[in-house]
Amino acid sequence: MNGWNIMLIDDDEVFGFIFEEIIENSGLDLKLHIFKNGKDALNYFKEAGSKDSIEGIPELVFLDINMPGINGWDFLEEYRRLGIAEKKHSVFTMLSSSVFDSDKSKARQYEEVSGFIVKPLTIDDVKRIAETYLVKRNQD
Amino acid sequence: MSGFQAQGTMVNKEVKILLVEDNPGDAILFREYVKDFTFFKVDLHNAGSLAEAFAIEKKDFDVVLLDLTLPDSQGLDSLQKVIANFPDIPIVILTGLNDTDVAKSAVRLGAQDYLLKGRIDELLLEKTITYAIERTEYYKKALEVRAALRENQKLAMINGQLNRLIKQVERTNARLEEFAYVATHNLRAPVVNLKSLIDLFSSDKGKLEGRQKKVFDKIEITANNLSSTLQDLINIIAVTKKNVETKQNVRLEGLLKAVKENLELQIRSENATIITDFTEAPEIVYPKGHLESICQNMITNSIKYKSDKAPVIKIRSSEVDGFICLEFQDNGAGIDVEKNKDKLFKMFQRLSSDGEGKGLGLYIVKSQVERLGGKIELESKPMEGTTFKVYLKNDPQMDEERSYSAAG
Repeated sequence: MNGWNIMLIDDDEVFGFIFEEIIENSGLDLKLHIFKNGKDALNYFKEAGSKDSIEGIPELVFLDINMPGINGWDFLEEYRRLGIAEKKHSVFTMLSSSVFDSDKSKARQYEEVSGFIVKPLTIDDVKRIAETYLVKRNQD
Repeated sequence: MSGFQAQGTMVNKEVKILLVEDNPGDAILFREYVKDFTFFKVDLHNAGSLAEAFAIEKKDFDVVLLDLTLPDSQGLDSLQKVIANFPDIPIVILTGLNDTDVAKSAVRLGAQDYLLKGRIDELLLEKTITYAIERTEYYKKALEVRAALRENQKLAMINGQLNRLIKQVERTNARLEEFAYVATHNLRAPVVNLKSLIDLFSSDKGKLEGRQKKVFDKIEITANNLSSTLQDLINIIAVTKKNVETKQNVRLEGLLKAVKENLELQIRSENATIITDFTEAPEIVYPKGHLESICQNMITNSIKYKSDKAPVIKIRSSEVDGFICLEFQDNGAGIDVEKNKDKLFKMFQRLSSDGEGKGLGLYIVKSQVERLGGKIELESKPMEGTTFKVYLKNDPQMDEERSYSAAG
């Protein structure tokens, strides 16, 4: 799973730092892309998708639901419209700070989304997700 | 005369008449007329002047027959004085004047009717008296009905105001709930970050010394307190919001087993013993999460406020007055119930400075239980232990789930 791309889309700057630290401490060799809003992340997808190589398209995306402007669900809709998944599937994990979320059921409606994590995100969470999806992908 | 109803029933009634008439001949004539009345007997009093009439102590007449021309008063003036002195009693004017204008004025002023002397016979007199009395009765009743109607209208108005107030309170309540929801949610993100940061730092903790280590330890304790207080608040809101599950048939034995597993660490470290007896009421239809939370809070509470002895908690169930009663009996420190009555179930009220309670446990249990129509009682003596009785409605009516917009 070395050298793969992992993306975080979250407006919370402190969580961005925590995410970096978690990835670093996880011992996984992942290329990190952190975006503080959905718009910048969409632009990245657009650009990466327009290239011949699909290398830059992230294997794993951690997507915060509650963001100003484009929220997590809006992002997924826009992402679908780009049609990037036809080139390369990204596995999305939704992130939420709220314990009251009824969004877990909503998450199931998106085939792109494979998980839902109520923060805190732990090193174990990241390892588990990486192993489940990246290793599986390696075998495919 | 009360209950003046259909004529047929009046035969045996006695009608009390005051005749204000100074002419003895006329008075005699009237006495003769009333003797021949068909439908009621008459008790006739004659007064020769207004002064004499007003001097009568018992003013319980059914009707006043009034001659307008008297030695001490003349014309409509006589009528006004009689009305003032005999309010609510019907008055029939007797006049020798063939003057319909005066008669009409008299009726306008409040007389029930007028009779022209010399044109009277017993039939006319009886009929006039009967109608005068009946009209007055009906008028009184109409006044009563009108007063009742006014009262009704007033009540309807007050009712409307109450409804508006209730709506206002409901709105405020919903806003407060929404506020609490947003506040805990917005608080949770930074609290979670703070905890994560402390976790990340913990590998470097060993390098800290002296004052630095002390400060970091305090930061860690503070963050943990903040986090668990917030979690308790979230639990309360979860109860109030009832973003809940549906009720189901719950076997208490199995439920307690799960709760004990959740509390395993606590139970083991305090060397607590839990004895259960659910033979009397083995199951209940109830939202399982609530039940779990109630049992967990009650056990935690007993352990928190233990005495010097190892905690022994006896839990039994029974059916009482249509409730399922869960009894939690402990051998803990006990509570002075009288002294602490007001504080017991309030938010953030800890009764003891020992233990790590944040004072939310009982509050949570009480709000959970009462939300679904139950109640909670306790008996306790300091140093002897406490018995909580949690009365739960079997198969309770659940409110409709309210939907809140979710946020990430």
